[in-house]
Amino acid sequence: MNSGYRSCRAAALLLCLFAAVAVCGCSNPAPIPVPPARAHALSWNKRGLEAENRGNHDGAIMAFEESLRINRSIEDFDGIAVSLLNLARVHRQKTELPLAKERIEEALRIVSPDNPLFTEAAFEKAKVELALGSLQDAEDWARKAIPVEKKPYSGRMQNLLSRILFLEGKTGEALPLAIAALESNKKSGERAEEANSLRLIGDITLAGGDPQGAQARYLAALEIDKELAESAKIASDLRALGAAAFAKGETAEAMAFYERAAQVSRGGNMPAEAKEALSELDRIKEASSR
Amino acid sequence: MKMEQDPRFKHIEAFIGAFVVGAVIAAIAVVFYFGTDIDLFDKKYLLKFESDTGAGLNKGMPVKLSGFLIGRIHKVSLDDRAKVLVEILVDRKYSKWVRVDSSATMMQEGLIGTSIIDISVGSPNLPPLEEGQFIRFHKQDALNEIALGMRESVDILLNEVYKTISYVNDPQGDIKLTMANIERLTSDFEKTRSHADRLFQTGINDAEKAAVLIDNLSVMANTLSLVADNVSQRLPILIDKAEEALSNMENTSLLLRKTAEQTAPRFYPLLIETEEFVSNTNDIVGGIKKMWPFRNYIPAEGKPGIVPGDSHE
Repeated sequence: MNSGYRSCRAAALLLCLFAAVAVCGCSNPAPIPVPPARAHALSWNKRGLEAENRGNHDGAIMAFEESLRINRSIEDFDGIAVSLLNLARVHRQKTELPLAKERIEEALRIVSPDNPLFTEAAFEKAKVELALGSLQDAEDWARKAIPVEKKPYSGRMQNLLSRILFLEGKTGEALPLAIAALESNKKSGERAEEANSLRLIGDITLAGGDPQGAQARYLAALEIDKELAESAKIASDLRALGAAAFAKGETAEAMAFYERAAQVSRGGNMPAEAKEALSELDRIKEASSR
Repeated sequence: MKMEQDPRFKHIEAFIGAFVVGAVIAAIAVVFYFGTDIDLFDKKYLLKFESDTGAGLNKGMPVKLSGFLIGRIHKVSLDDRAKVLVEILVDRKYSKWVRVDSSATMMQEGLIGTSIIDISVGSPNLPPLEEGQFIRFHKQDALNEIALGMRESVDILLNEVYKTISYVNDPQGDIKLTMANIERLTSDFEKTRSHADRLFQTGINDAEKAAVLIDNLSVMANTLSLVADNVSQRLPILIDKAEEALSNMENTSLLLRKTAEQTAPRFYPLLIETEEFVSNTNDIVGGIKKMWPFRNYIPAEGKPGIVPGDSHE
């Protein structure tokens, strides 16, 4: 056997060794084991998130309550705060606002402003206050959420504050904030929040008497929401487009948008929104028949 | 050309040869090891049985005697009469236990275990079954079949109860009519009583009124007699029907109790086995989740997740 052949074989062997080492290198170290009680709490939290994702609010509440109980049993304060925050969010979505308020206030008593969870808790508190109609409190909490918020979620907080300001009639302050939120969301790639910013700018623009400008923003928002397949938001965009078209005097176009909105809401199992779109449609029909 | 004489490669061919020989021996050892495990080298003989259905009968299904594996199903086929013909291969060394009065039963090993063919030990004074002979076969009821039987019985009972209730509730039925008659009678009695009261209170000893009263009482007595006749005619029918329904209920409850007695002992082990199964599955899944590369695709469990927030909900 000549030396070249042997060298080739040795090289092949070395290559195999390198490949094996490289493959081993691809692996990351095994995760640090989580204590059983904490793993249990995490598991219930995960179940809650999955239930909420399926739209099963009651199942989510049950799972988050169990997670809260376990976290309390081991005094895991961050775990307790997350469970309370999740519970508040689900209760708010169920329109159980007193319960949502109770839970989020309990969470805020645990979470100090330097805790990374504070932003999310303040955001949720602002949402609860907004749902309760306390615009001033909502504004205060939304402002608290912004300074400590780190990217990439700052656009979401800005959107909320801008929306509250708009509802308070402070459009002069709301519009630049919504534009800043749009930029922030574009940079961070938060597509859903980008659409929210566009819709919000559209609302402010429409209220400012520029239906043409509003329509362009709504169409851009609709495009993103369709991309994300967010039924509720698509319906919301279509209703907004209907309002903009009606403001422009394009009655037939407005009616078509409302009809589409009603259809989307019906398909998305949102009868209240469908009814709202149809009543808008009736209002336009009545106005055009005069 | 210069030949390299590295001492490390001096006996390389011999080493490779020894390695190959070793690998072949190891392969033969593996075949032998697993072959003995699946009775590959044992002498076997063929037995047959017939079944009405081939459901659950598969090639390779274990054949056991007193809980020991003695063979497997070799072939499942349909014969000319559309009966399922099953051939089993049984280890020759166990043939002394399989006699002409032995029978094969298809049953489940445990409650969630696999199905097996269980062969009963034959009488020692009878001759053993020979190669190719037929063995008696029957199938043990599965839980679902027992449940189906229960359902049929409960259906009959419910039907009976429904019929009885319908009979009692029928507005034109005997019970309702009898009740109406009794109610009317009670009402008439009440009127008569108040009439009599008035008569006594006014102290009128009017013979005519007394006669009317007597007439009324006579009419009432006739009505009462009619009602009594009606009741005496209808009541036995009703009692018969009620007795029939009660008897059916009793039979069904006996059947249910018997079934419960049969199945209840099987449920507890089933529960234990299911728990063990779930626990083992959890262990396996937990183990896989920690393994590379799967762990790279499983989110870290260190921090709890938050329900996504949205500024426009």
